[in-house]
Amino acid sequence: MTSDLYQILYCSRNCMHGGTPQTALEINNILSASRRNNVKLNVTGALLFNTVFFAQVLEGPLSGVEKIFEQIQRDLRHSDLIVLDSGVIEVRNFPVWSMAFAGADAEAPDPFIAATLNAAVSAPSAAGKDVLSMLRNLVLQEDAWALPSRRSSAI
Amino acid sequence: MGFSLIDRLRQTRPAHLQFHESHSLIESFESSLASRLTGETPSSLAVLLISLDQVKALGETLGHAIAERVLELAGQRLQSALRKSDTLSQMPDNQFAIILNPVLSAMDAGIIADRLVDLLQRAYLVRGQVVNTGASIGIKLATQSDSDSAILLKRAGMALQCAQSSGPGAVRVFETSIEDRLVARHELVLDLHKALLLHQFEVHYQPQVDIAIQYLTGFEALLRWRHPESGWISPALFIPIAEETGLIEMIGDWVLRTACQEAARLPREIVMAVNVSPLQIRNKSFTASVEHALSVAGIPASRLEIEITEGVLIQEPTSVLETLNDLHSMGVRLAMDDLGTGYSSLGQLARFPFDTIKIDRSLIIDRPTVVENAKQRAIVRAIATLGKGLGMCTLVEGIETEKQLVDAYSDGCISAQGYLFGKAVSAAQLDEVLAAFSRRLNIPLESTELLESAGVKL
Repeated sequence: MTSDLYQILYCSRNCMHGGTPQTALEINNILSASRRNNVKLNVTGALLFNTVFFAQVLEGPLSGVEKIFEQIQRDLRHSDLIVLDSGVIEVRNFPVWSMAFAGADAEAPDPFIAATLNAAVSAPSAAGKDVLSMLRNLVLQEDAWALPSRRSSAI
Repeated sequence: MGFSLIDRLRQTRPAHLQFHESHSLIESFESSLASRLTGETPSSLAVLLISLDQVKALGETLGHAIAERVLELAGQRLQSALRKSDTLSQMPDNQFAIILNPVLSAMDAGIIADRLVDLLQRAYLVRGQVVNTGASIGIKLATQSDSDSAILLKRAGMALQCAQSSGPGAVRVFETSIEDRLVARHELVLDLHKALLLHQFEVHYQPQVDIAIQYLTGFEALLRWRHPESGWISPALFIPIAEETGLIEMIGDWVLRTACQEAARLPREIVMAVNVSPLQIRNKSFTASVEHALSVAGIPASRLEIEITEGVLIQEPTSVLETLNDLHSMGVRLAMDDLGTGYSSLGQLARFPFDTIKIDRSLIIDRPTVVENAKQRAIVRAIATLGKGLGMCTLVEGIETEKQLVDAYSDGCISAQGYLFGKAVSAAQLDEVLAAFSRRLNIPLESTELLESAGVKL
């Protein structure tokens, strides 16, 4: 029996400019919007972010994940999205929405961001923690993300 | 908005009907563009033609249902990024056309196009599979004089062609120079098709000498095209086109036969080097063509040297290796051309039965500083040493001065070719060249070497 659950992991570059408070606000908006939409489609997951990148896990029925992934792809607040993994899973790693700050200085995130987002953080499962730490390690390769954007420019 | 059209296309239908549909897509776009042109100030309008470059290949690999879904999602992504006043149309061949209105400048249109390319090139998740496709965009801004929607679309298409040729993700705005170039190229292709039949090609021959003994040892046969109106056309211009169109196979075969026939008239020790295109060498019948050319000319295989570029070896090593081994066992000499310009994989040199390594002129030309020259010579010296170790002759190209020759000689090169010994000449002038080379050249080879070894700074 194959599971109906599908999971996709990706990283992308943050395109939002403006100061930290603005970013925190935007991320809060993203979160509450995704909660609203995702609940309807039975999709859960996790979002990691810092000022440079996003990393996200989406889990749920394939149709729902496809729909949300496509919405995310149309969002111009991020770019250079790289899918790290995708495929069928047996159980959800993130039964409820989770999120974490993954800045270089993860122990002492910007207090404003921390305060704004604290309420949104749920503790992920053990497997979810593994995925998150994998993502965190990947995105903490700040030298890689510091490279110029892959986007082409007009002549 | 909606993509019911794709649903219709999903059903397989006869080719002539598909053609009809493609045609009507273009027509309906042109008529909607035409109505925009009359209705408003045309200068505030731009036509974008967008191509999803890998969708066709995607369909062939993952199935057409997935490719069509990608096309559908791509259309929705475009629609989501456009304003109410813009118009999106699906076009044939995995393309979309957009009328941007209003648009202030080419830069404005470029910024929008960049954003669209970014959106389209983001991954698609379709039936659980992650797929990617490249996108290119050509832009034509409408000016006051643009009233013909078909011409506008055609020019957006030209800009698109230009974008596609510069790699995935490119955006190009139409300029008249693009049209001029494409039209000129189109005419060149037409003329190139006729050139062989109309005897417009000539083979010219450039002398190759042994540096130590200073005698003529061979000629490189070089293709020249005398165009009836434009005169001599640079091989750098027409050979790539001959490659793309496949005409090079026929032309190359003619060069091979002509050069062999000319070699038959030359003294027996003279080797004729002939350039062979990747397309020729990949053709299974190439060995037979060589045999034929040799037997018609009545010369032994050892008097023919086939020059290939290293690119050939990288692209299709096994089948090419087979052909090269066949030629080699026939007694044909083999040369690796342009060493030093491409990836120069040294491992390839040992795997393939080359007799000659040709060191590219770019490693010979004088550099602005002493240090750069010294570095360049170190490379030449290394290649010459390598050639010696592999039992291959090293020939330097592009020798123009005695100094360059002396350097190449002291670096260990065996043969040379270049303006110092003469440019390529027509068959009619070969006797003159032979006469000039009837005696030893007498270029002093030791002078600077001796001075240098004596510690004299030059």
